Amino acid sequence: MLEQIKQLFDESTDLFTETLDNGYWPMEIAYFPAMCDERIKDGILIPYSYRFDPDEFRRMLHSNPKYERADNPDEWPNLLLKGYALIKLEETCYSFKSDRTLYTQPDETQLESSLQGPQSAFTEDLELNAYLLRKRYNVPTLSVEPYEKGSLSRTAIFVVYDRKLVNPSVLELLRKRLDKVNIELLQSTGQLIKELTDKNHLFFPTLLQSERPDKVAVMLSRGKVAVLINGSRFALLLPVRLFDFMHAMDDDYESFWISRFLIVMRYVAVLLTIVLPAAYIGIVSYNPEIFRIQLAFTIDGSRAGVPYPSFIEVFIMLFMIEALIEASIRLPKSVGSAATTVGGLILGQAAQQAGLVSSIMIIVTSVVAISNYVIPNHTFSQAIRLMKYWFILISMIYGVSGIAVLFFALIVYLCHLRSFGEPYLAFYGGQNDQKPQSAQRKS
Amino acid sequence: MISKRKIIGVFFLLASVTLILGGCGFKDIDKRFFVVAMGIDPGTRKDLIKVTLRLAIPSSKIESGEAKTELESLEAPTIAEAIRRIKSLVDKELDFGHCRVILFGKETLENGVRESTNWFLRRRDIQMVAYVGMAEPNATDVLQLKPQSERYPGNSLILSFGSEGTESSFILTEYLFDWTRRLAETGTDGFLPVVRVDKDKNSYQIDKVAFLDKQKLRLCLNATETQLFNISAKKFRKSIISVPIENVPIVLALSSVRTHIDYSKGEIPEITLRLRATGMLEESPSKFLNGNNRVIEQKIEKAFNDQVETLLYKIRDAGVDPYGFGLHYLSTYFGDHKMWERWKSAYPTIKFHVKSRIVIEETGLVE
Repeated sequence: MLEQIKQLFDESTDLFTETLDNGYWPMEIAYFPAMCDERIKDGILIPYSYRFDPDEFRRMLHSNPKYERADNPDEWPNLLLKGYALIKLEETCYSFKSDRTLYTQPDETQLESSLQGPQSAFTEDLELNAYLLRKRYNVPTLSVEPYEKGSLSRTAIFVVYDRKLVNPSVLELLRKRLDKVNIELLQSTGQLIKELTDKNHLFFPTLLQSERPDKVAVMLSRGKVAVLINGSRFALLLPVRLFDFMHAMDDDYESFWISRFLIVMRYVAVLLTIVLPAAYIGIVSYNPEIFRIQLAFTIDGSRAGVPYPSFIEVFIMLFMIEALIEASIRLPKSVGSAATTVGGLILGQAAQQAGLVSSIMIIVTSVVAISNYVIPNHTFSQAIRLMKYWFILISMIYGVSGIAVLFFALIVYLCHLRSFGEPYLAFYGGQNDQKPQSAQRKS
Repeated sequence: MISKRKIIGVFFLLASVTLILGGCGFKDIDKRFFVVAMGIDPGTRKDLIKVTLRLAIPSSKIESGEAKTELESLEAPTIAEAIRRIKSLVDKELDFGHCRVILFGKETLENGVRESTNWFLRRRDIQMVAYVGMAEPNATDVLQLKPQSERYPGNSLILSFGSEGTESSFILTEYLFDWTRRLAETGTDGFLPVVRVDKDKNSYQIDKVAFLDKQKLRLCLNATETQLFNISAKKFRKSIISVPIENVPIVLALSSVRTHIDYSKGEIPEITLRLRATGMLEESPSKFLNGNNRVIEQKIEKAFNDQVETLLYKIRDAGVDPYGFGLHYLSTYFGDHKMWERWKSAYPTIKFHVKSRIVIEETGLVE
């Protein structure tokens, strides 16, 4: 066995291969020390060395679920790479599961933090994620289908769903698409999203990423399917509607009126962030009569020194704010606040005083930037962030009426989108959303 | 993929083509000259019209008395021509989007009004909620005034009308849409508030109303009558009824007004105007008439009825119908086109009855 393995892992010096001998049985052993944890000592080395008892050792080999027969030499490299130890005793090979896991407790939510909801988030370890999910969605009907994707990374994937509630056609479609996945290194859910969506250049995400186990549990109860990926702290949810992206878990936890208020505010914010810069151009350059007369004169006065047409002004400010946002992701935390102060406050103030932009434009930019972060889902927020540029382009050419027409076109586009066969802009979840209530009543 | 690219290409082509075809719709706000008020006067020659534009010079600083405006006036055969000529006098594109006040000079209205109104209707950039008024003695003089309290160009005149700024019972508000409707509608006639320059040359004096029939100016009311008209026709709440009872001035501040018009059947219909007004005594000696409110009410009612009746007869005799009695009559009585002819012949001799019900809700915060 060792010869074969050494041939396969030529020059892999971190592979440990040795023939041990306790004076009774010789044993060939091979494993990657970096990928295995301390369990190898208790599981193999101690029973083999000073506590050795041939009968007991044999019993252990047959009864301990961590030991498995590994007769097929083709599987050996795979097992070794997954953190198993291979041993060969009396001409039979066994594998011993001893993979190292770095994660022993759930992560803290980072992107979808909630005030009073659960604070735990998925980790980068698949097993722990499955545990987190089972803990929250504690029913025997929760099914897990394992997959392995990525020709180089060989990433483990769990497809999780409640088999009583799931829509079989969605599941069928998912399986088909998963079969087609052709990728070398699968490292994040984002890659899988690209592989799973049929069209590549969509403006809106049709799959939802979430780091919150409670959100995934709620979605499972609505008959949705979750896809967990080893090494990614996000779960994929499908099929989803646009309104799922606008839903924060706090909406379920807060009192009725507060959550309604927050939801309405969120949609207003989305509308503002999409339309406001475009509306600024449209109103300032095409239809100033939409403003109240005071505002028209104030803007007129503050724009008097601005040398460029309104859309250049908008592009200057939006470039600054986008650069600022992008920079603040990369900046180290200690410098971050300084950069935002310089960028946001000083630069904005200076740009206005220098007469490069009007004072109203500073307000427009800030409203756009703030409103964009009201959206609870990061992917969706990015999509919206991009959307406003279409509106700016169209308002440069057609003014306010262009914005109205494009908004209509946007709604048409959203209606045309499908998420795993389900309509994207459905107001009510259709079959899937009503199912859980009836199913719960039955059980 | 190719077809998709084609579609995108065609889209951008169409967009750019329509951009060229669209002409110069794109014009930044600071390249526009906002017209805040417009005046129409007769020209020096008979075939000319004098158009006066009050143009706003905006500033980012808004302070009372700091508002700057520019006045441009020009005579031309038509308004449209005058506007085009004025465009050559100014450095920025004229924008009528914020033209909220349109003033007709008194003389224009005496000559006839329809032609000049036409232009305002056809232009889509003139808002139909613009206020219309009659300027006395002429529009140019009134527009020249720059009140001290003006915060931004034209704001003083705009705030005077409508319910945005001051709400005076002497100021009637007439919008462009209502004005054109009244010019076209059978059985109702237009009215215009009369804007004059105050004696101290620092504010506008708007306390009269002018009545026009379909052709020209017919009647101007004085301030007291204007208020009566505002109460009885417009049901204006924030007004007062002032009647001397036994030589003691009594003033009732109204809080609600309701009116109802009845027509009697007959060859010459008689009109009964029922009016119910509630309010509070603002001026009255304490323990007046032993504090018997009903007696005071009845005395106010009687005097008020007389005042309104006199006003109605005065308006009737001028041959105008700003109350819209004719329209009301036509709409409530079944009949053919002869009905209107009958009404027209009957109107000069028609009889009015005013039956008011005054309710003193409270006597104010007095012991």
